[in-house]
This record gives sequence, structure tokens and C-alpha cells, in this order.
Amino acid sequence: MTDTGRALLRVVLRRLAGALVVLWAAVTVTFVGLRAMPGSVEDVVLGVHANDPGLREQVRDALGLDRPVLVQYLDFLAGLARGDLGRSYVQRTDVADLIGSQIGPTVQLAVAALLIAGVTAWLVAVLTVDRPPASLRLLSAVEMLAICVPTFWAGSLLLLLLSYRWGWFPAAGAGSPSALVLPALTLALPIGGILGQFLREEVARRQHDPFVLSARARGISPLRLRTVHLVPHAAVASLTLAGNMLGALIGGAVVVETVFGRPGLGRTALTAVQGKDMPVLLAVVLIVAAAYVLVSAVVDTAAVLIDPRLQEVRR
Amino acid sequence: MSLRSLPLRRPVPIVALTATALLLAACSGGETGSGGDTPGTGGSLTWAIASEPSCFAPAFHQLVSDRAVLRNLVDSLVHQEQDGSFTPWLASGWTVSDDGTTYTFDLRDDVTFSDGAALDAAAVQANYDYVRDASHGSTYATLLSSVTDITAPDDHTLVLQLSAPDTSLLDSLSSVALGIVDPAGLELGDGLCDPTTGDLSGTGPFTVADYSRGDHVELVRNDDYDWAPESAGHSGPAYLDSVTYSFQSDDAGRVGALQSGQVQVISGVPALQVAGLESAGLTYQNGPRTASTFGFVVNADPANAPWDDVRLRQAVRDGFDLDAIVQAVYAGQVDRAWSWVGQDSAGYDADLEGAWGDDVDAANALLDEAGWTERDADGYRTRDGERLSLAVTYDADSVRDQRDTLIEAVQDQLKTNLGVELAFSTPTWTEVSASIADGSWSVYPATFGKTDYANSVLGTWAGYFYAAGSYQPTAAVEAATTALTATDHAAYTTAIDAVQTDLVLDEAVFIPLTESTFQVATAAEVHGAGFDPSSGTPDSAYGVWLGRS
Repeated sequence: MTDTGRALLRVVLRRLAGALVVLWAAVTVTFVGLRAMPGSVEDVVLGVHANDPGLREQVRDALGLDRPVLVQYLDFLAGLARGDLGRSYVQRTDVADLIGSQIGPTVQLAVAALLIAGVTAWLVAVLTVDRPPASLRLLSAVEMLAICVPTFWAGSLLLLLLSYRWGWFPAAGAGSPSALVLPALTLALPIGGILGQFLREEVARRQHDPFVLSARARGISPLRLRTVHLVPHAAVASLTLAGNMLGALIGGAVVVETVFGRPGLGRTALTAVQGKDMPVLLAVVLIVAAAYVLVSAVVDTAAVLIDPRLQEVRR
Repeated sequence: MSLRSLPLRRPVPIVALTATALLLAACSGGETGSGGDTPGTGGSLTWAIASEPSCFAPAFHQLVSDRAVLRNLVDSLVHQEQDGSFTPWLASGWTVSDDGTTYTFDLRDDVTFSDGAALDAAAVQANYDYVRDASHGSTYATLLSSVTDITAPDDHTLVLQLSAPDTSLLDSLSSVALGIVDPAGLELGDGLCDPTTGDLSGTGPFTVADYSRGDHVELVRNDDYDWAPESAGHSGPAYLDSVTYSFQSDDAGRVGALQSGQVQVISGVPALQVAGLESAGLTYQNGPRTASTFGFVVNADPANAPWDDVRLRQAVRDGFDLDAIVQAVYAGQVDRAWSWVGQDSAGYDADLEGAWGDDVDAANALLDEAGWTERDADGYRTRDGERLSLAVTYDADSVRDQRDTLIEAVQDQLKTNLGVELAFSTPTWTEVSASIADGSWSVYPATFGKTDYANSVLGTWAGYFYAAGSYQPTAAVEAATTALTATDHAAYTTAIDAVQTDLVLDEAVFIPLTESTFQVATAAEVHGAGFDPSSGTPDSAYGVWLGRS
């Protein structure tokens, strides 16, 4: 193996170990947090039958709650290592099946929202670079509004107008592409706002960089300068926002899925918290943590590939 | 049956709709069936419901509202009528021994499960034996707690042997919770919850065609169905080709979807939206008031001192004008309650009407008598420097139908009229359930759903709310026991009356607030939607048909 190969392997291994630690920490904190919440799983599962003779023991036995907490925790970790996510207390189904049925709609929603936000922000940045300051201030205000408006409110407004009133899009469900439009728009709002502001500021900042000057000296058209040179530069810089955006996507998905009655991980997580459905919630936390780890790995790699100078700095 | 009913509530602005939307509602809809004004076969529709069944197996479903969906898939041995009587269904008839402890059912011989297997006595026996065996973990085991032995002497005869007479038995047997499935599926336990496996096979008028968790379940007609109860009004298969239940937890969202023609039926209609629906040409139906009512369950145990003093509880009960509050909060769409028993129930004691409530002078006299004569700076009564305060905790997920507004109105009147502080909070269900389990709770605003009243006193009151402390509503428990084992109707009625008198008048451990009902609203072309008397929920789609709007 070459030196470079060995170095690469070392980096990959170190990253992998780091990822495992992050995942372990995330599920452990969730496990402890859920245990610390008042109330017991048996009470939630049994409702008014909580004191029926025999039932409580039966539930404790069936769910393994009669064992010491530490044993339950280690058992859970062992299950994870085997790829076994356990069984939902409330929905009475395998967590893997449950998550499997809910992850698709959430990924669709997130990807659609990212696309809408990205394309819109890019267009706005390209088209508005040299507008007068007054109109830029207005644009900035609109972006701030998109970021600040509560997601449930924006979603309700879109529903009211585009679904109930004009009937352009269905109000609920995830069965058709048209059902994706309103939820994706709603979720795209805050992300588009953040991205738009960032892109525009970056573009404005780079206006006077040497590479822009030299391109201008070559007689490049203003539009080509923006689309080919300025915005891609800014886009690379916006990779640093990936973490923020993922957070906005996940938080937003919980609200959007609830407002629009869409199936998905966000709503599943919400129901799991309400029902103290530990196995389901732990699985969702695990997936979210894995998504963060993955995104940060991809971003780091992409940044190095795009801008080799970073590699020098790292060494 | 869970105490909690419909989870999730989010604020969404209510807006009057324009003529465009009304036009849409009138023109669109599912495919038309007969197109006339007499029932005809065909067509399909979408029915928006608030919560997705957590489980499709009768033995393991959790919410009362789940039964509206499950009723399409499973039938019961007997059918409960609106007046509370029982008529044949899967059983063509039955006899009860003179001592009330032996029930002999004759089963129909022409019934098949949707997987083709024939229904026989052994199949019914297997279902009941499965549920009543506590090791299987069905929360409905107690429905059959009086049953000691089940036998099937021949293919179409089923004998239930009881330890003592049980007036609630037929009620239990009519319930979705004891709906009959092909015993082959029972071995799967709660694996039967997931309808996509195809293992759930009932004898109902519909079968599951498609299920998307969190989104919808589509049911298609069972063409072999020919054993509807007589009161269903028609026989043979259902009218509709298919019905899709779409899960839409937002109340205002369901109303908007109906008004804009995206769905044809909705369950759960907020009271304040009813007027708008009716003026838009949609049909609104409020279900029978056969469920137990919504009200304050008060902990009378010394652990909740000073509220173990009955005078204080009675004072709170009589310290506000419920009629005015309910009218103000619900604009006439919801009825105030007088008892723990719903006004349309056979066991309702009408003597409670006018027997309590809105007597501020008497309430103040009771509080003075109990020694709460001082007032603090905020105007609340005190005794030995301690403020007279009653903590009402309502799990946030269960708060719906403006019940928080209702409670705040009571809170306001109690402060003004009596100087009693009502401390209202909405923590999570896990917290509330923990406080009930350990006896430290104070007041829980509860709805019990359609329930067998005698069983409910023994199970829910004595066995749940008052299980942890030393207090028991003894007279109510005794009366409930009498009602449960009564062999003649008069004795049963007297005993159920005594239960209500004890809970509401004498002990004041239940302060009735409003009648609790389910509602449906339908587009103009939808006919035949109604309510299932066994659960009070919207009925199956068996009688629903599409006609002229």
C-alpha cells in the first residue's frame, strides 16, 4: 500500500470510530433522558387497565421492564450491534418495519425542500447581485421573514389558500407528487431564507476578489461572471451551513408532517415521545445522528476535493 | 379502553370559505354510485379520521375511535341497538338459564371469514379463550372475567358458563373488542395488528386492500357478506366498492378537506365549525349521548387533603353556572351533562337533573362551615394561612374540543363565586398517569367513552383511580356489583341509579361537565352514515351509499 493509501485508510478509520462514538453518545443520552421522564411505560401502555390484576406484570415481563435498567441498556446496545432495533411498545410492531415505512416520505420531503430552497436561493443570488441597496434591503427583509415565520403558520396559510380555497393541491397524505408540493414549499421557506442570505452576502463579498477582476478583464459578460464564477464559489462556502440546514430540515419535518398529516419520521418521533415509546424514539435519534455524521463526512470530503488548499492546512 | 382519545391538536386559523370552495364541494366527490336518491351499489369515498388505529387486531386496539375502522372488518356475536337492547348477529339466537349463569348461543351456519374459512362455534370459542387468557396481554380480558368456561357442543352451538350473573356480558360480546377473527391469525398475537400481512381475517363487510402507515388504509367490499344485523336496514354486501380512511389529525384540516371536496366524510367536528358546515350544505350528525360524560374526577383520598372533605367537593360542584358556561363555549352544539351516565343511555338517572349545580350561596355556606373563612390578598379563601386550591391536571394530548376553555371558564367562576383557586395545568400523559398510579393526583378531567357502567365503576374507579389510596366510593362500588349480577331489569336500573347518585350527589367525586359524543359530517351526495351503538363511534361504512347531492 502506498503512503497516500495508508494515510487515507487512517483518516477513514479515525472518522468511523468518531462516528460510532457520536452514535453511541446520542442513543445513550436519549435512553437516560427517557428513563428520567416521569411516568412509567406500563402506565402508558395499559391506560385505565394499569391496575388490572396480572396485566402490569404481564406487560413488564413482555417488554423486559422487570430487569435492571443497566441490563436493559446493555441489551439494547447488543441488539443494535446485531442490527435489531427492537419492537414498538405502542404500535406493537418491529421498529425496523416501522422506520422502514416512514423514512421514504421524510427523505422525499427533505430532498424536495432542499431542491426548492437551493434553486430559489441560487436564482435570487444570480439575479440580484447588482441591484440598488434599497431593493436588497427589501430582499433581505423577505428572507428574514421566511426564516422567522413559524412553520406551522406558514403551512396552515398555504393549506388555506392553495388547498382549501383554490383546490390546487391535496391537503393531506403522501400518495401523489402533488401532495408533496405544499409540505416541501413550507419546509423550503426557512432553509431558502438562510441559504439565500448567505449566498447573496458571499457573492457581494467576492465582487472585488482578484479572480473576479481578472475575469472581468477578459471581458466576461456580467451574467456569465455571476453564474459561472461567483455563485459556485459562494455555494462551496455554503457547505459550512450543511449542519444548520440539516437541523432545520429535521426540526421542520416534525412540524410539516404534523400540519399536513404526512407519514414520516418526524411525526413518528413526536408520537413516540408522547407515548414514551422508547424503542421507536431511540431508532429515530440513531437515524438523525447517523445523518449528521454522514453529512459532515461528505461535506469535509467535498470541501477538500473542491479546494485542495484545505488539505494542506489539515496536515 | 384507553382514557385518552384523540391525540394531537394544533392551532389553525378558522376562515370563512368563499363561494368557489362551496361550489367545489358541491361538484366534486368520489365516483358517483347510483346517482339517484335510493340506495345503489358502487362508488368509493375517502373518510378523514383524526387518529390512525394503533392496531387493527380487535384484541389489541387502544382507542375507542379505532373501533370505527375495525367495525368494517369484524362482526360480533350479538348486535347492540340504539335503545341498548341486543339482537342477533353472528349468533342467530340465544337463551339464558334462569339463574343467569349459562348462555347458550346458536350460531349462523352461513358465515365465512374473508379468507374463506367457515365460522363455527370452535372459532368463536378460540377468540374468546384467547382474549380472556391474561398471558396473551389483551387489555380486554376483563370483559370476560365472569366467564369460567366456554364449550362448543356442536359446530353451531356455543355455551358460556359464568361464575355469577353478568348484566354486562351481552354488551361486551357486542363490542368490537370481542369481534371475531379467523383463529388461524390468533397465534400471531399482536403480530395481527399490522393489516398488511393479510393474516387478519374477519367476517366483516370490508377487507383491507391497502395500508400506508401514517397516511391511509383502503378497505374494499367483501362481496360474500350476507349476515348484517337486521337493524342495518339492508342485507347482502355493502353498497360502496371501497372506502379509504385517511388519517388527518388536525381538526380544522379535516373540515377544510371536506369543504373543499377532497374528502367526502369526516369524523370529529369541532363544535364551533358546525354552523359553517351546515350553511355550506354539508350534513352534520352528532352521535348518541350514550357514552359516559366528560367531567372532573376528583381524588377524595386523604392524600389529596383537604379535598377528602365531601363538603368542599360539593361546594366546587355547585359553585358555577354550567349551563351558561357550556352555552358560551360551544354555542349550543354541545350539551351540558347532569350525570356520569350519558343522557341517551338506558341507565341514565334523570332525577339528577336540577339536583345539583349553580347554587353559589349553599356552596359558600359549605366552605364557611368547613372552616375556610379567611381570605388572602388575591381574594382566595384560606384556613390557617393555607389557600383553598384544587389542582386540575389534564394531559396535553387529550385536550381538545375547547375543553381547556371550558375548564378556564369554571376556574374563573370558582374564583369569583367562591374564592376557590382552580390550578389548571396540562402536563404529559406519562406524568398524569404516574400521579394516578401512585395516588398523588387531585383532579383528572376524564372521558371514559362508551362503557359498561357497572364494570367501569369496578374497573376504572375502584380499580384505577382509587387503587392507590384508602378512599373508595363504597356505595357506588356496592351498587355496581349489584347491577353487574342483577338478574332482572328493575334491580339493574335501581342499582345504576344508585351509582350515579353516589358519584355525583353524595360523594361529589365526579363533577359532570359536558356530554361526550362522536360526530360525523358528510358531503351532500353521501347518505347512510350513522353511529355504532356498541361504541358510540361512527359506524362502519356498511350502510353508506353515494346518491344525488
